[in-house]
Amino acid sequence: MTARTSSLRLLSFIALLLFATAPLLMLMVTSLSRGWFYPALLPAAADGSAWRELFTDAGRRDALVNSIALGIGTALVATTLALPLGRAAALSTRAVRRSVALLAFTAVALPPVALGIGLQLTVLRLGLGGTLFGVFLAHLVPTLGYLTLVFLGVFTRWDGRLEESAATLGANGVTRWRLVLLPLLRRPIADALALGFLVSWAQVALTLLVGGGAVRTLPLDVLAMLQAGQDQRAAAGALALAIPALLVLGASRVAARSTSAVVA
Amino acid sequence: MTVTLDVRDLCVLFAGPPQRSVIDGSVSALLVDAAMQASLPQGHRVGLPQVTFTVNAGECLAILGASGAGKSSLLRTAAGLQPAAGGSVLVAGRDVTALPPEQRGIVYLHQEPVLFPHLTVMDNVAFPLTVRGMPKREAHRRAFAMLARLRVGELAGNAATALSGGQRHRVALARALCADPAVLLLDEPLSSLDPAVRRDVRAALLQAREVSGAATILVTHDLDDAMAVATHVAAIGPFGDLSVPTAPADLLHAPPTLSVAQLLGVYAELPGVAERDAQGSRFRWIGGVLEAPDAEPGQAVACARSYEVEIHDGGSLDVPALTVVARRDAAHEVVLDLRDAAGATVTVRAPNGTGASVGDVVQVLLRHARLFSIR
Amino acid sequence: MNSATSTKRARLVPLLMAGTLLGVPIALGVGYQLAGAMGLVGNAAPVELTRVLMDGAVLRSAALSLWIATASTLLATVGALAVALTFGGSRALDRMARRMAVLPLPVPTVAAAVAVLLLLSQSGWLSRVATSAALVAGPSEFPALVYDPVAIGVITAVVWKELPFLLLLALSLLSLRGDALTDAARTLGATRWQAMRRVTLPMLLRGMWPSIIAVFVFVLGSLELPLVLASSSPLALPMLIQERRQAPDMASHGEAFVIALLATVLALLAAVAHEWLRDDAS
Repeated sequence: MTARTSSLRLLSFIALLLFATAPLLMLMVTSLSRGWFYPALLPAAADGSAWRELFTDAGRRDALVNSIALGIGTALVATTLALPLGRAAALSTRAVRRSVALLAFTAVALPPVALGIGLQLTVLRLGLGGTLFGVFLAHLVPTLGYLTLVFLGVFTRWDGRLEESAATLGANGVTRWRLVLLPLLRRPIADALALGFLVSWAQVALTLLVGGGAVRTLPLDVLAMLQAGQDQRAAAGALALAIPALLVLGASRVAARSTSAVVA
Repeated sequence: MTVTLDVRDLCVLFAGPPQRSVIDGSVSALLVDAAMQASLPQGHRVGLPQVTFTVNAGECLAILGASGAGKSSLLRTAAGLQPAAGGSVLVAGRDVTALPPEQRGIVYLHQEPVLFPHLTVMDNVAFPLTVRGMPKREAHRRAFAMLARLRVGELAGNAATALSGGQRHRVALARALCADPAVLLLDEPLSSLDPAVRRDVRAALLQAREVSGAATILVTHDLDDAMAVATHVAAIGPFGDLSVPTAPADLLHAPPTLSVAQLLGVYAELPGVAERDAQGSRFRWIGGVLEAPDAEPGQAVACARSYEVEIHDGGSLDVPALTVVARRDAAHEVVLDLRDAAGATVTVRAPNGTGASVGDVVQVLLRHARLFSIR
Repeated sequence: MNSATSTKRARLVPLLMAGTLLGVPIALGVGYQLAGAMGLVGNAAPVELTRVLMDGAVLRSAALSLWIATASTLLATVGALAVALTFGGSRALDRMARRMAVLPLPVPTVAAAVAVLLLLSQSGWLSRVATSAALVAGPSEFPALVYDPVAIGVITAVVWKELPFLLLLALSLLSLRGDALTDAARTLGATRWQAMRRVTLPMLLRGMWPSIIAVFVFVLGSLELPLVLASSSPLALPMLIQERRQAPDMASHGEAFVIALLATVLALLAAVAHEWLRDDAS
């Protein structure tokens, strides 16, 4: 490698570094600065009030709690439903696999606004308009789509010979699930729970439309702060959105390294 | 002698749609009536229409066959891993045809050892015991004993994923033996192994035989493997038919059909004509005439092993002279292409050390051969 | 039970499950859009499809959304390929670069949008840097990167968030097949550049198509991105739907439903394309 290409690589690396981290740094600094106006390059004073408010202000706290509850609930229910669906489809014929994949991707690809105005009426009809449960049902739709695709992939690549071996060694259906399938599914299930949480955590349009403004979540809060010109609070909220997401990703990568090599 | 595995008229299916061509043995598909074809699961066709054989306790039957002949499908059907379209499987007198794999008393080993990656070697081997409700300590004790008998006791604490090829085979065998099976099915256990590992696994298979009284079936396309491990050998023919299980030496000495002989791969095929008249019957080929009592008149093929052939320098004997057109030295024999005066050629196998070179005129003496009529 | 019925069951069960869990909600969502467009529900007046399709505002919105989706997907793809091919090796620098580039992956879109706003707006940080460096005299002289007709701000936010996604895919494709392919090409006489252009890149693109479509569709339908970063004239399509839905009159409501249906149809087409290409890629 020549000196020129090597310095080019270094420059690219620095550019990449800046590109990847600048937005997050910006959020960090903004969230901790009071009264940081144009044209000041650096904030005048540091201030943690926006962060404290996330937990002390009743409205902000409600939004945070709602988001967490929705995230966990959606993750659990969607994973529980998508796992058997993905497995049944993967073990079936090619046509079935493709149809299920198509349906799942449609659930993901539908513009949330479009899906939202339709689901809003559905939820109203069910008498759940403006309730947390109604929003939860709406969040389930794209999450189920994502997780079905995930488990479809997992089980398509699954090594069926493990269960065959277990069967001829004397293990019946339930035992095979308990001793072979579930242990090997620990990692994919953890990934699915993480992904399911993140999908619900980040929802904007669905919450807005189906919740009808009555259900507050963290992303909606951030938008409200932004529109009110409260940059510091908006940045804190945005970072509060980003940090758990980053942590969840980091945790699953650590888990990946610690589990032994499993079925590819 | 207890009959442990009894397979009767088993109809083995292949995955894949019914084919119109007759070339690959789907003649069998034509033999099956339409009603049966309709009752087959989608995307399957009849592979081996009627398989019947028995294996006794302590015996090892090697099933030979070309790739795609249906050896694996036969094993998997017997194990209950794929559905049969007819016939029955009996284990120790019990009809297991309708039972799921875990209740048949048949353990099936895949070609590549399939160990549970999330369990240690010890837990893997103890699996069939713990699954039957044995307390963990007792199960581990027995598992360790089995590992020791197969000479891999020191691997007990290892992760199942950190083993070499030969070790994986031994662990899989130990695990299978812990299930105390009545029948053990080995699907090409020695294919794709290099010679050193192959010797190792062959030894392991023999050790396993000593430990267990199971009826074993070994599927392979390699004759040497079959002879090293098996007590009986059978072959799957081009029409999905299984030959009668015979002791390996007997099979080599007298293969039942030409296709089986071809499968064994150790004979030179010498085409010719069998004649019969008042003086008796004989086999005439371009290299001479051979006495052939009971030969059916007509086109025939004689199969001879290299040590049953003598190559003499041409001229002195009372047989046709042939010219050597090509010579190839193989590991255990010399292969010669010979041509007669009329231009007809034949390929002959001779013992190592035969001196004939290309261009030499030679005469062939057949000490012994097996004759097969061609209809 | 013979094997024929068990296969039939193997086909029905997943279809039934998928139908209930996925099909029903989608049908409900789309069904109510349809009902709304026909004026049956949602306090809407029935709307003529052709009128909406010819409406200048709708066409401009669609054009803007399509532009945003195309440009940002293109840039994200090119960026992902560039990073994957530049930093695909096993040296420390490569590994660090890859780890960093993937950082934005899990960040929710809203957060990404806010961050980009703070950086690129005319009173944002970059503008302040420009002022300090005396490149511009005031905020209005800094180019409008946000709320601009070209939607640079939105595109930047999308690239920031979606490049990691495409990058991960490119990296996994490279690790699966990359070396074997380039080796074969090189021993057949191709230079490093030729091998990349004629072998590696086509292989990557073929494997990435379904994901590229996924990104495209996601950007097309995202509300939060234009809400934070895009101008209000023309409105991006999701914003237009929202605006019409919130207007006081019934006619606008009907229009909202129709435009939503159109967006839905586009998404369905993309889903079909995605599934069709996915089979090719695997």
